[in-house]
Amino acid sequence: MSLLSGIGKIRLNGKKELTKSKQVLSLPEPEIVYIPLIIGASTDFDVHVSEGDYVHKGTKLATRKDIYVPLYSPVSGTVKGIEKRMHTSGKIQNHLLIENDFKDDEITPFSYDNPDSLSAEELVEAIKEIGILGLGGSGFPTYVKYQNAKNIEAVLINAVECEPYLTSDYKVMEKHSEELLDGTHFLMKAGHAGKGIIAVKVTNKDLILKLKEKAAKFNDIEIVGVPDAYPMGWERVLIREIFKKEYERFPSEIGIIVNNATTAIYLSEALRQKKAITHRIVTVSGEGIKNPENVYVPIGTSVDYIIDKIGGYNDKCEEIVVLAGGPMMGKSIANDQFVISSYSNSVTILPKKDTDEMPCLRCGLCVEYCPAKIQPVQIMNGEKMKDLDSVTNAGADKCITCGLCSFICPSKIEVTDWVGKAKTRIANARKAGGK
Amino acid sequence: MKIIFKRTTPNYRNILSTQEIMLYLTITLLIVSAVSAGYYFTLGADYGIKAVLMIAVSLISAYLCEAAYFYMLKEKDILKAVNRSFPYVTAILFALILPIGTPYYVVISGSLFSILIGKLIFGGFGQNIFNPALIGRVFVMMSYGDKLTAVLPSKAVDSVSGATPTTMLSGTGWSGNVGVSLTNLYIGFYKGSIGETFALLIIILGIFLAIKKVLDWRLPVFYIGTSFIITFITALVHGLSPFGFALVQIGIGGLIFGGVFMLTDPVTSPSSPYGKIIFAIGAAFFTMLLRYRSNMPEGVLYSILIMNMLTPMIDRYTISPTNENENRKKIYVIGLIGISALLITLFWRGA
Ligand code: SF4
Ligand code: SF4
Repeated sequence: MSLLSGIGKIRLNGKKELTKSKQVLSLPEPEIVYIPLIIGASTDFDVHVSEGDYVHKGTKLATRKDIYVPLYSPVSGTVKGIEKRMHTSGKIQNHLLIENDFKDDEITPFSYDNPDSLSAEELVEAIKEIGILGLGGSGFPTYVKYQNAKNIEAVLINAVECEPYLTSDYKVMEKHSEELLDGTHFLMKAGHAGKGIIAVKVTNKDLILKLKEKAAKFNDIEIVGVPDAYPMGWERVLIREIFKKEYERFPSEIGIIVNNATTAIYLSEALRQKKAITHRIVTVSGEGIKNPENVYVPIGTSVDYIIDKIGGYNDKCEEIVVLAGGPMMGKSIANDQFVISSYSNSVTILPKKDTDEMPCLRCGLCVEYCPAKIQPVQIMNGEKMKDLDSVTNAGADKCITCGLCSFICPSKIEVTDWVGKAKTRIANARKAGGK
Repeated sequence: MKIIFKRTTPNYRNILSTQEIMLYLTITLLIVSAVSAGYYFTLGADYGIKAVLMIAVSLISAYLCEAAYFYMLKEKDILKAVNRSFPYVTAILFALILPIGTPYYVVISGSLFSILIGKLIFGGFGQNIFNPALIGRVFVMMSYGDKLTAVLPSKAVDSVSGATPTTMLSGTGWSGNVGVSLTNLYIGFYKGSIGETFALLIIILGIFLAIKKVLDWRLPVFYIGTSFIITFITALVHGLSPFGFALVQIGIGGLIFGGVFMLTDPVTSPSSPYGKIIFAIGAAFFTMLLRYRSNMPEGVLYSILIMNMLTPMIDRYTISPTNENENRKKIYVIGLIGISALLITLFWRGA
């Protein structure tokens, strides 16, 4: 605990036991997959196919225009046009419909004959062509981190998975530990980094052992156990924990690139098996459904289809919330028609609980636990007065929307939302100021 | 089954609620009350009954006051509104800082004052600037000062036993005899305000509350710690036995009670760790300053009220991210403690 800056993290009831020891279910593929034509805030895409076209599994369907990201077809079949549909962003967006012919007719969209001989630049190009995106739905393409990288010392693989309920990363790593190490090596090479570190929660003892065994062959990858705390998986907290260092905006300032475990695994699979990202493991959990599971589905599978296949909603709940993501950072979506993207690691379904909001006690617990080391209560008070200076001085823009302040608040105030509003206020003022 | 859209995140909440915080606080206060009543029963049944009734009277007055207030506001569910305003915490706290000789009408008027002027006129729970119980205490002290004795009025003849260690000490220029042994000073079997004497018990309860996150450990630790350092240095400079002197100084005058139960009132203290530390050091400084340089040996009370007043200022001063300039802040903290000790040493006019 720090005397002046508080604890900055907390141990949560992870509820991981709901799915952790269960086998991953390979669901029958859906008849139609929906490919969202949106990544991050960008909806501007070049669509390379038109209605009625036959596509293979692996056919390039579209590319994002502003920052290059290709989208590949996860199934073979016929293009059925474009439809507006709910998206994990919470808004209605364009989706490309593919009717599955269940033939699994696959092509290789890219081919790297000898992946081990690729140079760093060629690897970055490969990461770009494979279309790997960062997690969290921000849709930040992984290759961008490497294009601008200078003096990178270590690649830090974030395998922490600190959100409650989520076990999809754990499941993927359990199955693909070989690919995880292999992919880490490729990433290290792409960043000219001499060192790789894979951070896993200490509570995942079996996984740590397994990875350590595999890593023993090399002397440049280290497996590090980190405390079971939230938000340990956030870059800044993870780096604080492992390197005892702080940075201004990006970890690359102190010579570190952080990638998610699935990124490394995707990369290895794409390079060695020449496979586009077509499927993924998703945790579908929470008390709002009957059988929490990890499912293996094609990208573009609709959530209602998955829930139906695994036994449906819990009839005992009258009202539920469906979250794209986990309970802390996940976003409530108004219906269950949204689809799984390559970066969706989970869907959490919870019974709706009403909170009884009390006046702010000014207890400072939100300050004590904020991982961004800002003062949510002060920002909330500043925001209530619409005081731009005050929220700016308080550093509201540093908030990462981790939700810890609302979580911890004994008065059950929506502190995170207030800070969010303050953040928007600052962003709008910056835009207006032309900066 | 219906899917509801929820605009706010997160959808996961900690169990600890404000209601629970108040419950924990009340339980610890009731433990203090019970021990206190037990002690006074050893002095005689009339003393014991008086102690119990003082707390009861304060509680009843506070509830009636809140009920009347919400009735006048035309609140629909008065009971709910009163419960969400937590009058019991203030009421028990207020009773515990009165000496046993306080007449019931004084308890009643003080309790009403605490609730009404200390809390409700500011807009209710969470809005008040000053600690309500302390406001009530200051009010009764100003209005009925001579009635606040540590003996029952019926026994007023033997007035010597009514002297508290604090008043005795201040009479001797602070270097004389406390009248009770150091051990007993901490165990608390002597007369003072009814709840504030049981220092050791209060420390244990304080540790429990800190672990339960009901109070921030920084406040009592820095308050009591700074008080200790200040008095230790003062004694050292003035040729007294530093350990004994400092231990007596933090043992008397409800300092530990104030540090654990009054200073830590979240509503009236700063919200950042750094702010809390400055607040606690400031309170320690004013406690000693008032104790030695004014004719109010109960410096604890006023010092906390003074710092309550400064809380908005401290909050404004410490608004930036908590991990900015940590080293500089640490130096400031040490500097503040040092300056406080120096000033008190200079101001001290005892011995
Ligand atoms: S945790 Fe809640 S009650 Fe406590 S200071 Fe923050 S907003 Fe206020
Ligand atoms: S949501 Fe933002 S303000 Fe709240 S604890 Fe997380 S980082 Fe801090």
